[in-house]
Amino acid sequence: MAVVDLDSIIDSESQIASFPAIVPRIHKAVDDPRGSMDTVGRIITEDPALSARLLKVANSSFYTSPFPVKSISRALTMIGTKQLKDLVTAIYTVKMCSKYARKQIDMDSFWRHSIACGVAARVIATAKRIMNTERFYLAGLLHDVGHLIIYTKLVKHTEELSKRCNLGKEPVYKLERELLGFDHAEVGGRLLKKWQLPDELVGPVMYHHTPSQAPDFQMETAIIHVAEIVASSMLYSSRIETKVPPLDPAAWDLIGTPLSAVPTILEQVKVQFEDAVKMFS
Amino acid sequence: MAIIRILDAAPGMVLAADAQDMSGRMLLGAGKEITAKHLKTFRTWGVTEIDVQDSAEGEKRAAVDTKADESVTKQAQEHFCQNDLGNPLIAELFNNCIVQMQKQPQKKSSVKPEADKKPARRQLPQSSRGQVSRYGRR
Repeated sequence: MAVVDLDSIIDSESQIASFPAIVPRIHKAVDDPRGSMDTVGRIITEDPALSARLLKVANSSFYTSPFPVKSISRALTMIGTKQLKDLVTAIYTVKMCSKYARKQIDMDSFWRHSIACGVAARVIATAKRIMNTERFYLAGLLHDVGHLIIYTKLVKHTEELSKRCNLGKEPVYKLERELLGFDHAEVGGRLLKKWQLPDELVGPVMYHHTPSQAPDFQMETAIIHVAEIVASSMLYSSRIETKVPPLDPAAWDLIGTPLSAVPTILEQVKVQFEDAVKMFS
Repeated sequence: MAIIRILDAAPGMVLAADAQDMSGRMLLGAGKEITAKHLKTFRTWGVTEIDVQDSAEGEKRAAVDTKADESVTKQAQEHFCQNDLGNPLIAELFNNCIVQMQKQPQKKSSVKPEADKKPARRQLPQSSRGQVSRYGRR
């Protein structure tokens, strides 16, 4: 039973916030078989903020360049076109989300948690030798975006919700379902869908607390699920979900990474997290 | 011959097989004795386990593991209360959490990590930062 009409909330949300036009333009330029890196680079330089971000990314420890990357074209060749699409989407989505900043939410801890989850997802995917890991970063970064909607659109309910969450015994998503009829994972998934982001992002966000119910992209979903738990366990939790959410052991089995890799994964998360945080500051 | 976790490895052990990083890059050949510097390099390159010749050495560790004081353990248990500590992955994360809580006693995830104070990234030694104490034990 839905206490609140989720559809109308998502609708009103997506009407106000339309996605910046530069994102589809970059996607189109990258996908154009006759296009060149030059064209892509030119579109990117139209937005100085975006250019600066990309340079920062290319210079981060994740890409381990032996020398400083100074030009956009060099940055593009290092990042690669497919990853570029994901990065650009990430940068603009995060920008869109920051308008939800309210005093009810501690945005600092929210983003710390999101970044840590994104980094953890990317590290786990790398350990599994999956290619193009930026999409995992993006999914992790956005996995809790539903919280922002709940805390800005359903202010009436949030007080009761926080009260129950603070008891800490029950997972937050279950409490949300009890109180609202849906949880932040569903809200987030629906919003991303409305923004027409690809299904490989929507699915993992939508099912990140219930990975066994995911109809497709099971591996992606499992990785985001575990990544959130890893991030919380490393004390990168948000003020909303303060505890480590319950693990679905089937998700870890599906990923199939040996337990002996966990200490290395944790260490990598720590290093890359600090780098990733710098990109947002 | 025994495959041990990199955390259990100690200087003086002898490699029984080549040590490789996550992508299969060879770092140190079989038969070589491991030094503290090698260990640091292994960790930097993401080596998770190595094959060493004598297993007796590796077992020395275990005992030293977690002699966390009670309040920290309790705090960590609280943090993990929605999870089953019997699960091997959770147990691993739980132990790491205790270690981390001991390192930063009162800090409870509100301020950004000393991000601004950090010197330039991409310096390899940085990735083993924070773990130094683990080796300091020896």
